[in-house]
Amino acid sequence: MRLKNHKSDYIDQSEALSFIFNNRSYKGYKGDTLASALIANDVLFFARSFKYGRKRGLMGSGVEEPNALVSLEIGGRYTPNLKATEVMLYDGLSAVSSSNPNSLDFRALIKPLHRFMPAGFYYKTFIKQKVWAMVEDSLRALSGFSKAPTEKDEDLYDHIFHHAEVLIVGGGVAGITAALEILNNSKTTRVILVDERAHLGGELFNEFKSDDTAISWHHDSVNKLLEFKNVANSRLKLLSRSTAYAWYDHNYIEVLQTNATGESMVSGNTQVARKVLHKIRTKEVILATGAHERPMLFETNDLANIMLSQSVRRYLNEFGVISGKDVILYGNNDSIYGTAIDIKDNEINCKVIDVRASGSESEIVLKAKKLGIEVLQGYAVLKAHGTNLVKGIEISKVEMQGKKWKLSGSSKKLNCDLLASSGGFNPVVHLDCHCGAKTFFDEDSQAFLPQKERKNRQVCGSISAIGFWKDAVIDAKK
Amino acid sequence: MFLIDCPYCKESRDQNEFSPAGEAFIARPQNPEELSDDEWADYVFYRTNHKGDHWEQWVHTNGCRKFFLVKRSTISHEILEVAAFGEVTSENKS
Repeated sequence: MRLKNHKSDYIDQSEALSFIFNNRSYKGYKGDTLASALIANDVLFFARSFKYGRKRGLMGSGVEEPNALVSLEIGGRYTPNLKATEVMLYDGLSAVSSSNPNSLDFRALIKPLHRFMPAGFYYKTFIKQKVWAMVEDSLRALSGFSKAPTEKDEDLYDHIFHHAEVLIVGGGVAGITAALEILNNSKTTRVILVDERAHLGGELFNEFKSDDTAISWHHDSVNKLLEFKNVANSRLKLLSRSTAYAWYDHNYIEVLQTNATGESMVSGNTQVARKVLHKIRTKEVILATGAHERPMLFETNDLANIMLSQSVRRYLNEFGVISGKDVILYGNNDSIYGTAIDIKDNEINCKVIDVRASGSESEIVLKAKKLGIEVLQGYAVLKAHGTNLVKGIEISKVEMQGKKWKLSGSSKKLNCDLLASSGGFNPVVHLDCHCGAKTFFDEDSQAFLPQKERKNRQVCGSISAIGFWKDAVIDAKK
Repeated sequence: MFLIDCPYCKESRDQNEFSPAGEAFIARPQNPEELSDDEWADYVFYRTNHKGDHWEQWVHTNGCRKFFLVKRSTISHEILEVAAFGEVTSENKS
C-alpha cells in the first residue's frame, strides 16, 4: 500500500502513470520502479519457485532481488528477464512475470512427495537418461526464466568509447566524495562516475529524516558535481542508471546504461537509444560499490513478504510504499533499528527481534526503545508460518554456549504480515574479482573484503565495511 | 583487452589493433637438413608456455604493421616492457 501522508523527493505524485502487469492494469507515479508501484497496488506475488511452484514475493529493492523476474512489452519490443526492482515505470508499460504466480500450477500437487525428491532432483534424475531430450523443454519452461524473444528487436542501441584518468563505480556517499576530492585537487584529471540508480546518493536518503546534515551534505555535494559537469569541456561524466558489469585487463571496463524511461524514445526523426554500452579505458579505478544486505536464516524463510530490512526501508523512504501493516524486524545488527524507527514514524506497528542479548546497547537501540518500539533481545526466529504469505513466526530465547547457539526456553508465536531481516552486510566485491583480485575474510566485520593492495585500484565506502555515512566521507577523502 | 604501446608509433593502442605472433627469440636452425624429426618438431611446435614474465612478439596489424617485442606477465597480463627488434635480444633480455 502507499502511505497517504508520506512525502518523497523521488516520487512525483502529480504525474500518474498507468501500466499493465500480468494482464491487469494498475496506476503508479513517476519515479516509481515497477516493484514499488506493484507494492503500492498490493501486488505481492511475482514468481513461482522451481520445484513445488511456491509463490514468491519481493525480497530486495534493487539489483540484489532474486525473485521478481519479468519480461517487458511484446513483439519487437519484447525484453526478457528484467528485475522488476530495476525497471523504471513509464506510462503504458506492460510486463509479465517470468513464471506467473497467478496461473494454476500442478507443481503444488507433488509437494506431499517431497521426501522422495532430494535437492537437485530434476537434473540428477533426468540429465543422464535418454529421456532428457524429451523433458528438457518442459523443465526449462519451469525454471522461472522468460521465454526467448521470437521477433526482431525494433529498438535502437548504441555504444560509445570513453577515455578517462579515473573511473568511480558507485554514486553513493563515498563515490560522490571521491569524485569531488579528485576534481578539486587536480585541474586536468578526467573523471567518470557510474551509478546504477536514477539519483545520486545511494542509501543516504534513509538518513534524511533523522539527520539534517545529511540533507545539506547531499544537496551541496550533488550541486558541486553538477557545477563541474555543466561547463564547457567538462572533466566529469555522470552515467546514471548504469551498471559496470565487466572489468577486463588493463583497466578496460564496460558499462551498460539504460535510458531515462527504459524504452526507446521516438520523436519525429530522432530516435534515442534504449540502451548504451559505454566502453571505458581508464588509468585508475575507484570502487565505491557499497554493500548488499544478507538475510537471516530460518525455516520456510522463502514465504512472500519476508524481505531484507534495508529494502523495506528504501521502499518506505524513497517510494512511500510498504507491503504490510504489522511488521517484525529481525536481525543481528543495528541497521534494523533504523528501519524500525522509520516504520514507527509512519504510524505502522512494528516489533524488533534482536538475536543479541541485552546489555551493551548502542544509541540507536535506546532511541528505538524510547519511541515505544517493542524490542525482544536475545530471541531468534525458528520458523515462519503461512501458506503463501507470511502470517506469523515462531520465536524462542537463545543464548550462546561456547561457540554454539542453544535454545533456552519454550517457543512462542507472534503474528505479522511482513518480516524484514538483516544478517549483516556483504561488500559488493564482484567487479573487483573480475580481473584476478582476491578477497579475504575480515573477522571484525564478519565479511569478505576486497584484497587490500592492488595496482591502479582503490576502494572506499561500505565496500570496505564502513557503515556510517560520515565515516564513508572521511574514508573517501583519503 | 590489453593496452599496448607500439614502439614504432609511440602510442598506446587497444589490443584489437594488434595480433599476437607467438613466443620471442626462437631462431630458425641454421642447418635444417641435418636435424632429426624431434629437433625439427621442437623448433616448429614446442613452446615453453612460461608462467610469469614472458617475452613475446606482437604485430601492429591495423597500424604500422611492424613486428615488435613485448615482455608480459602471463599471470597478471601486465605489460612490463616493449621493444623494437634488435633493442632486446635473447642474450641481453631481462
